[in-house]
Amino acid sequence: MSEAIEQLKEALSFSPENIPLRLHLADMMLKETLLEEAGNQYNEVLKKDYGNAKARKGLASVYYRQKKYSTAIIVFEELWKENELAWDEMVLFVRCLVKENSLDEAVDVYKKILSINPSFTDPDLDAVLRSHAAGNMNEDFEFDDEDDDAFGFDDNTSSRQNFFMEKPDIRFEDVGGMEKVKNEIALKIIQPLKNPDLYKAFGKKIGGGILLYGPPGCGKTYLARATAGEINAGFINIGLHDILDMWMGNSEKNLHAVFEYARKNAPCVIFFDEVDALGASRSDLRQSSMRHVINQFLAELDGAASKNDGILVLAATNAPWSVDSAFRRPGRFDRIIFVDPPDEKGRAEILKQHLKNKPVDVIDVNAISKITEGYSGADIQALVDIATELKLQDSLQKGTVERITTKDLQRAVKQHKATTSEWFNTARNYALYANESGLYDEILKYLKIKK
Amino acid sequence: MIGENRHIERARLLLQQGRIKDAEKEISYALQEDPNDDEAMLVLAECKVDTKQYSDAIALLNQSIHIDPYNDRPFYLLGFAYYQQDNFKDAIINLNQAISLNPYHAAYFGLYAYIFLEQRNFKAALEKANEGLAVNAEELTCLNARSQALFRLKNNDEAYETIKEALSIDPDNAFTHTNYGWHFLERGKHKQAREHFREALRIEPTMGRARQGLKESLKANVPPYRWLLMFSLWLSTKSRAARFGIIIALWLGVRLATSASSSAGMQTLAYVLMGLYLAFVVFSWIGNSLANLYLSFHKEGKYALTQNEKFNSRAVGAAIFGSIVLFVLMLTSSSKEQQEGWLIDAVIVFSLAMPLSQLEYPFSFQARKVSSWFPALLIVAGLAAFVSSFVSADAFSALSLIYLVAFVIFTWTGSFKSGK
Repeated sequence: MSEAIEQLKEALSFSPENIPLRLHLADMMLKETLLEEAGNQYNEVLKKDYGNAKARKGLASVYYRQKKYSTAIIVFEELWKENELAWDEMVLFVRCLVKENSLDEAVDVYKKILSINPSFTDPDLDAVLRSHAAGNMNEDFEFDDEDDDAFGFDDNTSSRQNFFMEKPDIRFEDVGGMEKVKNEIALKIIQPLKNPDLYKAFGKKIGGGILLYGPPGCGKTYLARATAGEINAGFINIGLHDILDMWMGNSEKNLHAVFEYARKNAPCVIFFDEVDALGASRSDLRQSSMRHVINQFLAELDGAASKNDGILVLAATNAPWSVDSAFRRPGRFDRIIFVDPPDEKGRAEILKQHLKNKPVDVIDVNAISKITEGYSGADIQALVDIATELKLQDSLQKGTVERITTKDLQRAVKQHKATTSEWFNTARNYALYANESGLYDEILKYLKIKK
Repeated sequence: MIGENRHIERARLLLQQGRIKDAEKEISYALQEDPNDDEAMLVLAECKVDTKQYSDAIALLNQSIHIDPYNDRPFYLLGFAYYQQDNFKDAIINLNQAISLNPYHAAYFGLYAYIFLEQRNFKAALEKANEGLAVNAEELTCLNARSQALFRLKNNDEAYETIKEALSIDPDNAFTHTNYGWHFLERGKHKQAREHFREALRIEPTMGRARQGLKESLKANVPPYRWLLMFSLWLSTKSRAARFGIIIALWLGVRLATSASSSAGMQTLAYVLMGLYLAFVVFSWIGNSLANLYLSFHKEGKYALTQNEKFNSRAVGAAIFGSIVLFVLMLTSSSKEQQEGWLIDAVIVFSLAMPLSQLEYPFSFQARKVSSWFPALLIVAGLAAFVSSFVSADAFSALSLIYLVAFVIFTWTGSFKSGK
């Protein structure tokens, strides 16, 4: 083997600019645990080809093996942000983070790892991260594992829950704008919890969920999290992948487990992101036995088997038209709220928020918010990112810190168009042609088609 | 599904739910694990087909077939992708392969029938649809293709029977309603058509063909446009050669009729014939924009118009209004010279309506297509001629000549384009 390395070295001496060759050599050295030499080669590649992702990955692996975890984290973090990390590299990354005790970030990465490969387990990681995220939830629960073999997964993995409970520390006041939506949530969810007797006196039933819908990137998830923070409740986020996995076999039980866990840890907000994924298109349902997942969900919502005191169910979707109509019956998601893109004032606030802690010149926030009609919160963040990148390049070239100006943001506006328009194109058709019982009146109002 | 890759399984679910982007992402994980997984390629190809990226889909499908040549589905999808690209020869080759691998899939015959419909081979289309229905008597693509073929073969009773059957099997099928709607439009029954388009859109609000149909059915409220629509829908059922033939025969017929009637001493009849023909030609250019102008005042229709259509309809309306004003000026002026001047101006402004109806909006200066910048150039020339008529006679005669030549080129190339 080391003979091969010698040969590669020799070949490289004839063509020192050959980057693939040098990377190959470095990879070989890494395999042979010639860590220092491998590191040198990767660094050499980076000198010749700045930013080469393969070399950075290799370098991070070298640091990891040399137990220089904090250095490895710096490299991994960059790659993580650029979405360059492959799955096994994410595992290395999360291990580094655990070693350095950056548990919050580790949970994020770990979630991603599990979303790609839900059957992954690692005793060390599980011990630290799952309990960090969800208290001692794994011990709370006895699972009935009988049928799990049928699905071809390992017992241990199928019974393991992939949901995490957190205690959000953001509150309504941290959410810019959205006054109307906040009021509705307060009336429907928060006040009943604070004044149960008053609601009882007026004969108003407590319970039922709220369905938030609207274009992507307008803060539905953030709002749900803030709702939990507002009432100091736990927050369980059930994402698209969790929902999909419920379709794939073993999982009415998992759904039940989520609700049971929430009941034991009340008050608790369960948030179903992209809830439309729970109801596949009608034609598929007709022939399939998949209906049971929906039925289980409805039974849990109704609190058929156990009471739902202290549990709040929030759901969000970009495609309300795909949400099973059974979800909208009274007592279930009987309040449907349209979360529209931020208005001019809201945009200004969001912009200020994102510009905080960045080197900025005097910025005419209002001028920017005026020309960004229809931009979502995520779009505004993208604007700031683009402007930051521009200035970073400038600063590197000039060797001084160049501040972000209004002009940079205006340039960014030209580059990045509102992503909500695609959504509204679709939504408009639904609102115009399939607006049964006035479900989409708010979309029509937003589009100024209806007053 | 035991043993199937979890990513592929998830991607399939996402695809079913119409979350194409999420499905593509999920499939990329599967392909990272095994770049030669033909199932993963197949799912990715279906994503590409759903997003109309047919060339990408074709490349993936060929790869997938290379790995597993005994799976019928990729051949069918290939056939579909080629059909969408109007490459009927390759579509048929692949469809035959799919059917030979699996002759029990009625939808394959349905697609086959649609290819024959496109090729105006209505008998063969009917045969293929019937073959498919022999496999599965409730297959909707086959039923739809069958009814269309029957209509073309003038077997209306059976055609209506077939459509009724399709609707009774699945009353919530937007595709069937849309087909039915277009059929009624072709027959000039715009009110019945409208009901079916509305129903289709209630079921599937994003269906472009149904939206287009609803728009046309509303515009058909205006009788001359209704006739024009019927004529162009009828024309579209003919082969390309036949369409050219009809357009040229129409022109020759009018020429012959006018010269015959004028030589027989019936000058008035010749003028009337020529006038009617000209009115028809002009209306075939600007009729759509005028109908759109009507639609922009319609309660329901105004939201269906695109930006471009709104712009065209207003511009055409403005040109016609302008020419009327100039015509009135002509009538009120006293000297013959002045009258002549106003009349020429009125004609120029009116003629501007034709390129205005074709102008693309919003304007793009990068457009390399002749069809997008030629109308703009023509409008500039026309306006220049119009303005110069107030300034200098010499400039006017030069500019109006340029405009006239460009205008003739424009109308002739335009007529040929619409013949295609």
